[in-house]
Order: sequence, then C-alpha cells, then structure tokens
Amino acid sequence: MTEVFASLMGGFATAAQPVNLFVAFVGVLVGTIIGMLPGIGPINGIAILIPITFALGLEPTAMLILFAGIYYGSQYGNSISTILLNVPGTASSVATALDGYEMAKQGRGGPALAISAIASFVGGTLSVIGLMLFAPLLARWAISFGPAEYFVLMIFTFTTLSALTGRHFVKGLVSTALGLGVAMVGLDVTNVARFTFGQMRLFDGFDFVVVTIGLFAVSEVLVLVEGTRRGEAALLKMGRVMITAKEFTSSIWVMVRSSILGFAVGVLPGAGATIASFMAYTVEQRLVDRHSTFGTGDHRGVAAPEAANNAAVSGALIPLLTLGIPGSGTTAVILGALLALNLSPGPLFLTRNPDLFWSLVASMYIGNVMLLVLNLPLVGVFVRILLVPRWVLVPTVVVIAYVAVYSATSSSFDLLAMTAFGVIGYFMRKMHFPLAPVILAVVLGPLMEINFRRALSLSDGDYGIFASSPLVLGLWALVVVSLLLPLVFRRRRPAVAEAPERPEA
Amino acid sequence: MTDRLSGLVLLAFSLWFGVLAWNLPRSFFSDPTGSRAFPLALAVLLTLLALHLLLRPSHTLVVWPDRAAWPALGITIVTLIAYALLLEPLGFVVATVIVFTALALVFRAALPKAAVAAVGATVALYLLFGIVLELYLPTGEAFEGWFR
Amino acid sequence: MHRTLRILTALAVMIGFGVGVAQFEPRNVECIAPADPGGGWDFTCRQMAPVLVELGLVPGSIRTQNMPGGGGGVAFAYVVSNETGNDNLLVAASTATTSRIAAGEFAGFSADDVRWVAALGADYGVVAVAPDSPFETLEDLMDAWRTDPRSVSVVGGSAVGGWDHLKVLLLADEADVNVQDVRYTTFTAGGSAIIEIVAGRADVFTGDVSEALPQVEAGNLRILVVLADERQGGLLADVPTAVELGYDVVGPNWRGFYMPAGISDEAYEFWVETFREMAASPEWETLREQNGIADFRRFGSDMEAFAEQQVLDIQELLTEIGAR
Repeated sequence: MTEVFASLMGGFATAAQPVNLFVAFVGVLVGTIIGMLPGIGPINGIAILIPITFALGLEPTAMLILFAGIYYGSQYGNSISTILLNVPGTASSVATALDGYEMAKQGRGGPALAISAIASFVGGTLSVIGLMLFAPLLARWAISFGPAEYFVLMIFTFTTLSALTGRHFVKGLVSTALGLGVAMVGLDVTNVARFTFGQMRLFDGFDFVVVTIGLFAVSEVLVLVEGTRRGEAALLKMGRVMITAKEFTSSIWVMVRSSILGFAVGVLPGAGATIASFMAYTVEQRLVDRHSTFGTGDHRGVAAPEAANNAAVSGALIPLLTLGIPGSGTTAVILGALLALNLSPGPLFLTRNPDLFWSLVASMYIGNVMLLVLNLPLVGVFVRILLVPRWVLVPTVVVIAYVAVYSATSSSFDLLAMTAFGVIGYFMRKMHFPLAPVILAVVLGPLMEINFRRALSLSDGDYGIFASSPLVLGLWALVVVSLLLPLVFRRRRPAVAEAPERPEA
Repeated sequence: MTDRLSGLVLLAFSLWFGVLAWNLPRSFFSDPTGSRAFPLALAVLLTLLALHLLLRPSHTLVVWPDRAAWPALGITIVTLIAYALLLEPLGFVVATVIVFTALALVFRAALPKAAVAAVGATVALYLLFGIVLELYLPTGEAFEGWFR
Repeated sequence: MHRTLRILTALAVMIGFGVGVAQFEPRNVECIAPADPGGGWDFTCRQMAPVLVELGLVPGSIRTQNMPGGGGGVAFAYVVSNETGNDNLLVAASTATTSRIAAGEFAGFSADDVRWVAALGADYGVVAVAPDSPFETLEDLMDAWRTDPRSVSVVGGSAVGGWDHLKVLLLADEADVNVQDVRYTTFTAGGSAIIEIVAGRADVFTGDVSEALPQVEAGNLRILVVLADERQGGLLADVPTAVELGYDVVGPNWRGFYMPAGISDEAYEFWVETFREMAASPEWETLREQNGIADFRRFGSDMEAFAEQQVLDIQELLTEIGAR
C-alpha cells in the first residue's frame, strides 16, 4: 500500500510540473470545444486531435497528460451539447439527454451542467482509484466473461428497459424493436448482407453518429421550427447557474453507486460506456425515483449516467493495460495514441513501464481536477449558448453536424439517412414513442445477437453453454430478479402507483 | 386514432421485414444459428406489437403542428436534403452559405442579417474544420478546375 | 550519414529514371482511408503517409479523407469511378483489400481497376494456442483436424471469410480436410479472440504476429507456426514457418497504397520511387517497429504482380472449397 502511495506521488511529482499543468489545461479546453461540436463527438474528436498533437513534439509524460485532458474535456464537451441542445455525440451520453435536456428546457441548464461536471469528476476519480488498486485483480473478471455471459448480460440490460419508456411501455417496446431492426442492417458475422438492398454503403450498417444525430438533433430542429411558428423566439430560459446544496447532497450517493457500477461494467471489454450509462440510469431510477420524476428533469438522472460513463472509461483501461485489449471505441483510440508514443499496452505494460503507468494514473487525476476547475466556473458561459437567437444557433448546429459527419464518412448518403432519421424521430416524438430505447437497442442488439451466435459457434451448437458456468447462472438469476422486482414493488406500494400523473411534456 | 394508424404502418413494415428476413441467403460457412433467426424473431415481435397498437390503442392526445407550421417543416426538410445533395457539387463554402441562410429565414430572420451571419459562420467553420482540424471538406466539383 | 545516404539515393533515382521523375510535382496530396477514423487504414493515412512529408519527399501536407463502408469497397468503387487520372491521390490498402476483391465483394471490380503502388511492411499470420494446450506442434493440430475437424474450435479477429479465417483454411486445406467442417468463431478484434484462448473457451487462435507477440511474452499464448516465407528473428526465432514444415502457406497482411487507374506514367514512377526511398528511411523503420510491422517491400510492377497473385491465390482457395 505504501509502495502504491510512493509510486503515485512520484507520478504526481512529474505531472504537477507547471509545464504539465499548462498542457492539461490546454488539453481540457481544446477537448471541451471539440467535444461540444455536434457530429464530431469525443471519439472522432480524439482521433483527429492525436496526430495534430504529435506535431508539438512533447515528451511522453506531457503527451499522456495532454491526451487525458483532451479525453476528459471532449467527454464533458459532449455533455454540454447533449444537455443544452439535445445533441448527444455518442451513445454513452444518450441517457444523459433524458433528464439533462428536460432540465435545460425548464431553465435549469446551469445546474444540469454543474451536476454533470461534478458527476464526471466523481466517476473519473473513483474509477482511477479502482484502476490503481485493482487492475490485475479485475483483469480476471474481464476474462471470465465469455460470449454466453455477454449474451445474458445484454438480456439483463433489456429487462431494465421499462425505466426508459415512461408510461408508454408498449410504445417503448416498439422503439426498441425499431432500433433492433436498424441495427440488423449490414453484413452479419457470417458475411451475409442483410437489408442492404445491394448498397455497399449499407454493408457496415448505419453509422452510430448518423442515427443519434438524426433521431435527436435533426428531429429537435423540426420541433423548434414548429415552435417558432407558434411564436417562440429565444431557445430556452436561462435560470440560475449553480446547483443547490440539496441537489448536491441528494445526488452524491447516486454518483458513488453509478461510478462503481460504471467501473465494473467498463472493465468488460464487450460491454462499454453506453451500457454502463444506461444501466446506471435504470438502476438509479428503480432505487431512488420515489416520485416518478426521472425523465422529467431530475438532476439525479443526469448524475447517474455521467458518473457511470466516465467511470466506465477508466475501467476499460484495465483490459487495455493488462491484456492489451481495447474495450470501447474510445479505448481503441487511446491504444492508437499509446502505440504512437512507443508504449505498447499489453500484458506486460504494468511490469515493464511502472513509471509510465503511474504517470498515466496521475495524469488522469490531474485531467479530472482540471476539468472541474476549468469547467465549473465556465458553466455560466456555456449556458449563454441558450441566449443565442434561434435563427443563428439552429443553422449553426445543423451545419456543424452535417459537415462533421460528411468529413468523417465522405458520404452524402449518410447525410440523407441522417435527415430521414430526423423526420422519423420527429413523428415518433409527436406520437409519444420514446427515442432513447432506439439507441439502446442499436447498441445492444448486435452485441446480443453476435454473442449468442458466438457462444453457439464455440459450443458447436450445444445450447448447454448458456448454463455452463456459475457466472452465467448468476446472471440469469439477475435477469429473473429484475423481471420480478417491479411486480413485487407494485403490489407492496400501491400508493406510489396512484400518485398524481404529471401532464404530458 | 394515431395509435391505430401507427399500428397499421408498423404491421405493414413488420410483414415486409419478415419477408425480407425469410429470403435471406444462407452463408457458405456453416453457423449453428444462421443469419435468419434473429431477424425473423424480430419480425414476430414487431407484428405482435403492431397488433397491440391496432387492437388496444392508448388514448394519448397527439398535438399536431398548426396549419401554418407545415410549410415551414417542409421547407426545413427540403433544405436539409438539399444540403446533403449540394455539398459535393457546390462545395462546402457555397452550399453552407445557402443552407445557413435558408434555415435562418425559416426561423424568421431578416434576409440581410441571415446572409451576413451565414457568411460569417461559414468562414469561421472553414477555419476551424479545414485549417485547424485539417478535416476533409469538399471543394465542390464546380470549382475543382480552379485549384488543380 | 543519413543525409549522405539520402542524397545518394536521390542521385540514384535521378540517374535511373532521368527527367521523367523531375516532370511530376505532387500537389495537394490526399490520402483516402477507407474506414472510420482510428483504424488500421486510418493509421496508414494519418501516420505512414506523413513520413513522406517529414522526409521532404512531398511538399505541404497530406490530407486524410475517411471513406468507410463495405470493408473498403465504397472507397474502391469511388476511386475507380470518380478519380481516374488523379495523380495526387493515395488510397490505404492491405490484404483485407485484396481478399475482398478475390471474394467478389467489391461490386465486381477487380485488382486491375486500380494501380498498386507499394507495400511498405507486413504483419505475418500466426497460428497460436494456450501454453498448456495439447497441441505441441503444428503437426498435432493437423492430425486433430484429419481425425475430427469439428473437434477443434478456432477463433480470430476477422469476419467469417475474412483474412484470419482464410489463413486457417489455407492450412486446413493442406491437411486435406473438408474446410467447411473447420469451426471458426469471429471476434471484433484479435485481442478479444485471444481472451477466449486465455480463458480456455477455445482451442486455436489465428491472427497476426503483432497481435500475438505481446501475449507470447506474457506467457498467455504459444505460437505453433508463422506464415512467413522465411524464419523470423527475436522471440520467433524458434518458431517454424509453415513452409519449413512442408505446407506451402504464406500469409502476409501487408500495408500499402493503391492509386486510381489512368494516372500518368511520370506520376506512377514518382510515387513508386518516393515510397522506395521512404521504405529505406530510418524514420519509417522506427514507426514500423513501434507498431510491430515486419519489413516487407514491394514496389511498382512487383507490387502489381504481387497484388494480382494474392487475389488469384485467394480466389483459387475460395473456388476450391466451393465458396465462389
């Protein structure tokens, strides 16, 4: 333990040099700005920034700190556009939009951003501690998940779906089913082209950003057009900027629990930050949502996914650093960055490069702290985006989103698809079909199918593989509990079910 | 009523989806599950959900846009489609100025203000995307001769 | 020292190809990465191509354009139909490109619809098992296949019918096994497939040297065979090649570039010689070694012949097993 402490202090001594602090500051600032641009999002943002940062010729530790800063900054920047504009840049921030955007619409955009920054900080910090103390131990946990286990984990995540659907459970199922359908487009694991109509553009399926930006941002544009015709001029109200002590104390345990959950899910290379954020949201909805305020602008509904998705990312570093296996899209980019620094993360990374590991840990701490120090005071500035008149803001968002997607895919087809998803999303919203389950299904659906088929392929067609390990049986038990729990609760607490319904938003 | 309508649309979609799924080819390389299993299961699920919407619709009130809003929505959608189609032939700069102006007008800006903002935003984004981030921006097939 | 070398090379180039080289001047060079930002082809464009600028061989900067879709097919079709004669366009390519052409996945386009310029490095295929696996040698694995092909489960990081799968089929074919009976489970990346080996859920891993080597060092994997044409050094010094063992299977996953058809001869020669020079530079050697890529060079007409041959070999395999 003392050894860990000493090593960490060594890491800090390097990381806290003025040059490195400056680098962390620049990283967080640039990352925040890039992450905020709709359509670029954190993953592409980092992929684009990395080659540029190499031109600076910094030494490895400074580079690591710069990456960490860019990384945390871009994640947070993404939360800004998610909360204020309903434009989630990645799937892992869709759960944040559920309550975050509602808060912004009610004039509580400032508190939502503040909660998001604090939750990201808590998630980031707790998970770095987890990474530091348990990395080798948790590598075992990552390995123990095989295709059968992942399949049941996906089923479990689907059983928590009702938390996302609000009062229209059947419509939520329809949204889910449509998302599953969208996800089936493209080549499957055996190279059979499904629902592609011979279009090579569709072989890789719909790009994730295309679906999210279309369903959320483009449909939002249409909603705003409709509102303008009714005479609304400014985008949203401003309201107060900081959170209250009560908001903070009521969400601190939500953040802690979600960080732990997010970290544990993030360690699994086949799951990732999206599942972590949705799981944290749905779990907290069941644990703390006594008055059915989740989905109507509850700050805890922002705290949970934001803590979880940040924690999941440090969790994902564990399989990367101990086994050399990138879990999520973002870790794949981090892997690229480390490789370019001549560090090959792999099974021997920890033993061979202890110094760099501790620099990495220290840089993550510093990136996290810098994020809080820089962005919390800036919340007031960011919220001012909402004061920009609609006729400037909306065209700007549209142009950025379309050009960003085009520059990543060179495909007009993707832009047309994005527009089509926007129109579909608009009608779904009008008819009270929730959008978040579509995204969850787009992420989970392929994972569920691919892991099911992998499991059966590994067992050569023997269905026994879905009951072959204690872990998989434990996961089945979770599925059963998750399905039965709402029934039990409903019977025991009839008063809650009778609670007055709020008017449709 | 809208629930019934969406149920009907969904039913048509799920039947079509099911037919496509049924006709999927088999992979040459054997696989215990096959490519059809999950799509077919989904088609069944979709059909059941569609029937539920048709036969037991909920009575939520759907507020459709005012009559005045429909043309504005139509223009917006057409503008977005036009952006997708014009980006390559006209290039980033020209297409963006046009689309920005059109959208600003939809949001009731005066034409001179809209045009000035469009040019300003286009230049700013060109600097950010094209110069700082070195992203790929289409030059425009119409102007390619000027640069080569 | 390096400078002298470079001047000498430049002189050699000028003498060898005369004024032809001097006539072509690259301008506003673009590199298409036929995938999303962050992948292997993206690396080829964003990290390999800039070495040309670093060495002063190409002026200005090389701009990367990502064009994902159809496993490179969208970019291939685009280059063939829209970029004919563009002397300043490079496209990142690898064995994944040739194997998909062979499988007819590029909308009927063929290898001679583009100009293959250069391969600058390669990642050789390996077949590996867990350290405590009953398969001590490749022969043990071949015997197991001969006895009961369905008893062996193979995992790899490419899609079914993709390069990692094809490599293992090439081997199994040498054991006279009906390759349709060879079990293969696909994972999204080599690393995820290796987890299955480490956890004991699968028997055999097929992938590339760069994926397997760190795991060998950590004691998670044991390599049975390297699919290179000659024995490799370092940790692989004791590992036989398939050719040594009497099986004619070589599996290099090369990385390089193609260009559009219809480019001028001057431009083609310029790029061939430029890449030849880059391949000999210490800057490239450093980047190559950092990324675990082996030395593998093919240029100009050699490269064209090599790409065509690779396509033919894979087509032959696919026809033989009835997949085409």
